[in-house]
Amino acid sequence: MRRMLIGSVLVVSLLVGGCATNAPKYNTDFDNVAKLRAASLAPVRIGEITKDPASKHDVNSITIRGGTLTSPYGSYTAYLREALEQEFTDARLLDANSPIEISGVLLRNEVDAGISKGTAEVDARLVVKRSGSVAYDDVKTAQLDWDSNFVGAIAIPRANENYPKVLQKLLGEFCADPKFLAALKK
Amino acid sequence: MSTLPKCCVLLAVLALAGCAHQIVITPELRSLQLSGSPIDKKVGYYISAADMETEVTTAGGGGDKVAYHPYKELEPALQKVLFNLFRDVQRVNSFNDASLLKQQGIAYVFVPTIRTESSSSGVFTWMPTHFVVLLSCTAYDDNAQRIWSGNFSGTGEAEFSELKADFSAAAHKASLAAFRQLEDALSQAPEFRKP
Repeated sequence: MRRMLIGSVLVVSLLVGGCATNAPKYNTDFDNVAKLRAASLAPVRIGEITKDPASKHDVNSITIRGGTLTSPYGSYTAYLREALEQEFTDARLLDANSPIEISGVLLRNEVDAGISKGTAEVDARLVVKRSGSVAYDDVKTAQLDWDSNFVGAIAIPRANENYPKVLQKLLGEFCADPKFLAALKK
Repeated sequence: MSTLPKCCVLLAVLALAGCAHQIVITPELRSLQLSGSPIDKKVGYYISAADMETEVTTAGGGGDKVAYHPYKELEPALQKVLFNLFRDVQRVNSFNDASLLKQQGIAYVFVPTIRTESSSSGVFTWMPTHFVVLLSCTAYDDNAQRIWSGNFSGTGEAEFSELKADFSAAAHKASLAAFRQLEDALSQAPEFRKP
């Protein structure tokens, strides 16, 4: 009986808590691509995406129920860069030699798999420079909620799957900003 | 046995009972490569609201099952293929309303049909080691006339070492293979290059 009890407690602990998992790779949001393609933009290159050294929380570290969510691109600043690169590639607007550069700072990067509700919030600053001069500099926020679960085996994969979606939403905020699009015009 | 241990045992039994594990079958879209210049036409695709919500349950390993939404999760792959080949793409609410298609400037509408199968050689793990995506696609012109169709079959196999990091690895491979075949077929079809 004692063994059975210990085993059950162990299983419950595993179900509630988590271990290290990989975030899914980014996939383009084609609503964003449609906006970029429709806006008659000039090709761009994607510059550096950094983190804010003054930030209390390390944006390159995400913990979900005690387990680490690892970026498949090595860091979450690299994840945001990859997301930008994919969207502009699919919009046929990426050119490594372009004088227009998009760079940025990942300011906030949090995922929480609560008992009943999961949330993710990402804040980023994007800067557009045309031949070295700043044409755009703004911060956008994206937040996403979903139904979570007490059981970690359900809640953690659900949180993982939502991480790329909150980044899609973040880039959607920029793609919907007329000032961002104006800074990228031909 | 006091209440707390009883609850732990009950919870463990309930949680480990053969439920359907949720997976996501969207492939890595970056693997669907951009072709040369896109065809200078706006096209649409049609997936019914009911299909978008459809959840499918198929076999996993160890007597467990996996559940997923084939249309919702493969819509991005269809978008990627169409955006690779055509100038502009939009989702439409009908594939046979010729006046609406003309009004929206849509030259062709693509209608996918998706079926899936899965199985596993694993006894102790639930993730499918074998996955099949059967994709059919029909294209209609702006007169709502059927002008093209194709059937594609993508198969994915995954070892336990891959499944540890990606529970849906076999599904990702199968869906990628099916949409690669679709992209190849569409890029070679002369029907879409007519002026």
